[in-house]
Amino acid sequence: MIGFHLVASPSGRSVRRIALAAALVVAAAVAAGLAPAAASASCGSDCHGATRWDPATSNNGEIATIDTSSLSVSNACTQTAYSTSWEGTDSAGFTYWIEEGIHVGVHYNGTCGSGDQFYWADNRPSGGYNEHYPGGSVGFNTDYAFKILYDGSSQWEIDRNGSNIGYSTSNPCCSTAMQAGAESHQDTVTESGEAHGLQKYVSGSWSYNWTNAGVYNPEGFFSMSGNPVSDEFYAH
Amino acid sequence: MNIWSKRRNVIIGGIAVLVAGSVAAAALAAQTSRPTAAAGTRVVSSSERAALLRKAVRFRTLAHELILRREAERHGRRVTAASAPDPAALAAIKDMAIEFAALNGEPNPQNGLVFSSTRKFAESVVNGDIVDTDQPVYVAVFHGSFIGYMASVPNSGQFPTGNTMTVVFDANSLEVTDWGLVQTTPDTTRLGPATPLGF
Repeated sequence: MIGFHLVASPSGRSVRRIALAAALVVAAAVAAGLAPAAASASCGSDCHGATRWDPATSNNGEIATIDTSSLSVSNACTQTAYSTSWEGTDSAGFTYWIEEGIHVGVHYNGTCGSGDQFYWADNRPSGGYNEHYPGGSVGFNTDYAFKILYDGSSQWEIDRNGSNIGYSTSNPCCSTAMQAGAESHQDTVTESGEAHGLQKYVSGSWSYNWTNAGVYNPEGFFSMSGNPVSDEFYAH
Repeated sequence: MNIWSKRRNVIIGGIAVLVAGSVAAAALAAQTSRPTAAAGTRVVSSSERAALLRKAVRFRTLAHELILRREAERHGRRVTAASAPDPAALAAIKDMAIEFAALNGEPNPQNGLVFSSTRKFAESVVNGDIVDTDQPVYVAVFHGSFIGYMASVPNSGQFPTGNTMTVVFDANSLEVTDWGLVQTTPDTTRLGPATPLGF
């Protein structure tokens, strides 16, 4: 609270003090309220810190090995965050996609904060968005190779560490976009990890490196380092 | 300095503070009221979103109490496939459906129904995906104007929208195994008889 203390002083001094106080208030307001894009780096309702190759060479699959060091939210009853790999499944980037990874936050069995869980999801033409929880125990500082591969007939397989965990159907081939890293739905998140061992499946064979990948961190919320083509670190 | 000069200085300083405060308040309001839906979709304000989250928490708490009570009453008895949900399960599913709706932008879901099935078959009916386990499940289907705030998306802030949600619950634990948000209601006739959720 700004108050005023008028001092019985020689003329002009009280005026200068009031003017200085008002100027400081205005300056503080400017710093706090009028430069949000540069100063706050807020996640908003959704933000990412990832390596992203879009548009990518047309491909039928991708592998991202993700090692999550930390993944937690302040209120697991209403908040979510992800350590994830995405594969676009049409020729227009991420209009449709498949994703798999680790999710923390809202667990829909009436509980909160039951820890992290594996998940996969897809968004398909006429199929909407669907999310699935395949089970298994999540470990931090552990490599998980998340593979998404086209099997033909508009069906993609979703594998984790070489084991199948599901299939996305009625999802067209092929992909021209891939992404791996962090996603959060709120500012209050602790998340860090590494997306490495990045591979693509082109013309019937696997090869390393997402050739022209770059960093996708549009909100500036995550700290990114490494090489987005092969080995990218993210943290908040 | 005479009394009138002092009063003038106080007034000038007060006006400066009021202006500064208004500027700061306007800037803060602009930050916190930023719409959270993609272009072309219904916009939910931050205050509405906060109210929806409080509603979600309230109904989750109710559901959790019902689930614990059901576990105690069942003494480990297992649910068989295709058996209708018991009253406690039905009540918990209703509360969790309301929670789901609130978390995804809809304060008042409508026309809720629940079916009994097995997981793989249920998924083949409601969305066609192939999943890894095949236990007895309950499938809730309900309607509204949803924004998929709980969805994971590759492009920041571009949440999916739809008018139908489907949620699949393990029939024994009532843990959610799958959920979906679609624009077109799936044909659920193959799932057999439905039980109304009561909203």
